[in-house]
Amino acid sequence: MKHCDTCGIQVRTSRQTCPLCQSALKGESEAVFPKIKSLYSQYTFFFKLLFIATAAGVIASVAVNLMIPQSGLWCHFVVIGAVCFWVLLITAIRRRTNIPRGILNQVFWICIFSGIWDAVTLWHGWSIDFVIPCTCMAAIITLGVIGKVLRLPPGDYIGCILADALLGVTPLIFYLANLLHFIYLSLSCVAVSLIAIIALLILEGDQIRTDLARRFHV
Amino acid sequence: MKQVKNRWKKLDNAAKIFPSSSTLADTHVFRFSCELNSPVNPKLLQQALDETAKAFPIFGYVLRRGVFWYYLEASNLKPTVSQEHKPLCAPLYRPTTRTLLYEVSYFGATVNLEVYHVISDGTGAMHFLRTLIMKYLSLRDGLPEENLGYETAHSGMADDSFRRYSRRIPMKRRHLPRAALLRGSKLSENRTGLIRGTLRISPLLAAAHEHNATLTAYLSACLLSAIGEEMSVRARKRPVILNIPVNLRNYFPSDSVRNFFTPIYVGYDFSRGDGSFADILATVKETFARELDRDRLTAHFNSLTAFEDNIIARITPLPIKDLVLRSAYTLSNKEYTATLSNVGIVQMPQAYLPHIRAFHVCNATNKMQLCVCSFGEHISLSVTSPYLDTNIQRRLFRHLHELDRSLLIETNLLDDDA
Repeated sequence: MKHCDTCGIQVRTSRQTCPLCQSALKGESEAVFPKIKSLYSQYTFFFKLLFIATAAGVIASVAVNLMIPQSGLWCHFVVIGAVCFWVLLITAIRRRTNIPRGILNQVFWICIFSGIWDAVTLWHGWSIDFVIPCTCMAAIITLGVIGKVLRLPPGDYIGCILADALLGVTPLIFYLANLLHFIYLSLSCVAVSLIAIIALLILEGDQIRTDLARRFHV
Repeated sequence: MKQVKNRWKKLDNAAKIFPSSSTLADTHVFRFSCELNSPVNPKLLQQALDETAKAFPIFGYVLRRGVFWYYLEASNLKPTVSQEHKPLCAPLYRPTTRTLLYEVSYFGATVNLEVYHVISDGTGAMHFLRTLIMKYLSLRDGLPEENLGYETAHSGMADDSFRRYSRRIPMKRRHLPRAALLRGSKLSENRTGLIRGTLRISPLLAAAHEHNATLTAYLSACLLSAIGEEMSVRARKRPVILNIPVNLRNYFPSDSVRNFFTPIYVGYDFSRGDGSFADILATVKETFARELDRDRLTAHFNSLTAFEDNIIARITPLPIKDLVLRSAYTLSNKEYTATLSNVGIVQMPQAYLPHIRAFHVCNATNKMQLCVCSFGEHISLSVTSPYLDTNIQRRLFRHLHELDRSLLIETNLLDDDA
């Protein structure tokens, strides 16, 4: 037990000074609370450096592009690239403990970004012909396997498969709008998605119903 | 098994604001601690915790985001005991990870229970800690387990008592004056500083009774006076207002371990009154007499449950609701200077008393909060605050030291925090 002569109060602590008046304490030290280390982690510093590096790269390329306009317009590639990099990185890190949600979010962003890249590189249609159907199909299969192998509770991954399968039906729109040059993958993706949706509704109908009820309760 | 997995619950009325307004600086986590007479045995504590968790199923729920509201979902997660290694009342809820909303840790002879306010309030958490300590001591020393005097039926525990007692009345918002706010430099990393004083309860009760006041009223006056004396003349233009949560179980019968409280506001205007302790206490007593009335309390929480029933509020998507609730919380934060919560007397069976030294309670806050509980002949007063400055605490504890010379101060503040 320590004692503060100024306050006249007993203090149980490992401190040298009185927490109330900051004058010196006398007596035996006793720790009542642990010493908690700083939370500032090495990773924070790494990500800050990484951010500065990408920001510097983007700004420098815009500046250089403006200095030599005869080289054509190319700095927007760097900007979009930087945005893609950070969005995918943040999604991966934020969802690192929830694998099904992580996969679903990555699929969503990959579909969006492939569309954007295809559009800014003179639209050859490779995003809707190949990337979107392949990603959705791969994700549905992966989620189903992961769920079973890791024995996840159904509530944790059924919703993700369903959302992914709904995303996997969108190539049907491209097909009907006659936007596709290569129809095999898109139609396979739609088929796999529809089969997945039907299987889920029949096998996990109760789970999906309660899941929707709680997620959408008002 | 499948049934358990599909169980879920809506948040109770008081809990609705917490997930939207939790920040690193204001985590809405509170801590109950029990100091035993000998160092904690982690293995036995884990065993006791496993049994206690089974008796309180609502503590096994996790918080999830829906499209319109947050909700609680049953989980299979098991709590684990760890040596205290995180800052006081650090965040327990992370939006992207499924984690339990409470944690049990130990340090030396102390067992800490930290709870996210969404699942429970002080009363519920205290039942949990008392049960945990009883089970721990009974495992360690073979003491017989006894009934701790609360309803153990799971449905009663998980009851949303706000719903049960609220009536549909037109929404009427109370207009409170803006309160004087504390300012100053804060501790680093959003940490919460705790200064705790333990003293004998009898001199404090005697002093309160001498003024014909209840203990809570007397302590409110002590805190108001300590804050008032430390305030600059400019800040004194606004009244100093305390937010005092009232346990509604004292007014409406309820066995729920979930939230069931509503705040009352007790203030004193130092620019009008003479600032003497007697005058402050008189004002406090008057406010208590007026506010602690069943009808007035019902009106308070009805105005809040009305929000839940409002159809536009209900169909607003959660991200927008988050923004609205967060700003409502920020605005309501301007209505009071500090919080005082009195958890009351902690009771344990006679056979367990020799093994327990003290119970303490404290709360994370972005203002200043005085949490009070008493056990046996002693009363524990914990002041938490994010500020470096400890002048208010000094005034408060020096005043209490005059009542009881055996006052003992403990703190989590380090020398270099000063």
